Amino acid sequence: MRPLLRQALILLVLAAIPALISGFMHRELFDDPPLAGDETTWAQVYAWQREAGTATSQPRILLIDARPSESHAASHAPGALPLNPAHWEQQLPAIIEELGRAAETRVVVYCDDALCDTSRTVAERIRRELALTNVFVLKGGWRAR
Amino acid sequence: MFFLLPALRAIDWERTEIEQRAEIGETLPPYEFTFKNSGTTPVSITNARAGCGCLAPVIDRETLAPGETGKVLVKFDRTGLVGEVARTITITTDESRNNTYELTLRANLPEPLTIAPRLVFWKSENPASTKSIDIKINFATPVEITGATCNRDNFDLALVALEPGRHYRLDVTPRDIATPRLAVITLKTAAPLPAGTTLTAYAQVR
Repeated sequence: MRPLLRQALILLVLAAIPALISGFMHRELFDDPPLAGDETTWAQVYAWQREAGTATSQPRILLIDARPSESHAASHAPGALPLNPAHWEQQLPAIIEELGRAAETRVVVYCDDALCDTSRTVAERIRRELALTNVFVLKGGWRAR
Repeated sequence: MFFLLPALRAIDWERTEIEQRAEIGETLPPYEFTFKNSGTTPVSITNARAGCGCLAPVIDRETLAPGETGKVLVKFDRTGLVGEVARTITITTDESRNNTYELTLRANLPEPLTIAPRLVFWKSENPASTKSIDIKINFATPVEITGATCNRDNFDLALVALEPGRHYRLDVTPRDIATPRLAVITLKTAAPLPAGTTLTAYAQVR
């Protein structure tokens, strides 16, 4: 029995060494890609919300839900307002009203998940049309919360 | 030591990125991505995940024998989209490794009118200075802007024709900045424009 166990262990070690080397060579498969300059995470958003709740000098956080209106109606992050390209003109005034309620606002746009592109389109359009700079895209989107 | 080599992928795409342009009012023609199974075993496409609800991918054959070709046709609904737009579709196959492929659809969608910025605002502690909105007409034929109206009476508007039919400037001045308010400014044109053309801007005192 003992020699059998020893042989099994040796085989395991022999298999593990190249597996580790292979894993090291393809470690990009395991690492999360770094955040782009205008991306943020839920953890950061929660931290900003805590700061804004405790210090009035901190910018307010405005979450914008870029998913289709029916997804927003089904569920959304607390306080998030809908704004998607298909209903832009109808939804934009509420966003502007909200921006007017605070001296400084950080805008964070999310859509479904990492594969969804709409949050970036909406963020870019907000920057262009409303001349805002403090606009972020939520990495991983709604499903990463 | 084969496991040290990157896994070979079976699907070869003729192109993984396509760019199209649609003039104002035109719909985008479908995007067509052609692919071939260059492997030695059959490959099935198990999922085509669009990056937005505006894309509708259709795969003409889901399982390809070695050497066979297929295509992904994608309808792109441009509603509400303007400028340089990029969208992705993630194709997943039943290959054992490296089984996702990203297809990129780019569109150049000119805006009928460029209104920049669409929001001018003043903070109550700042002076009530004049701010300008730049308006450019991108239609093939000139469009005369005859004036602008505001749904609140506490903003003064002055329209300046920089190049009649093509380029205008709208100067907006608040009469007072003591009270927070939002006003909608609507541009008036000499002739009606296609439905959905944006003709509004916003002025806000915060």
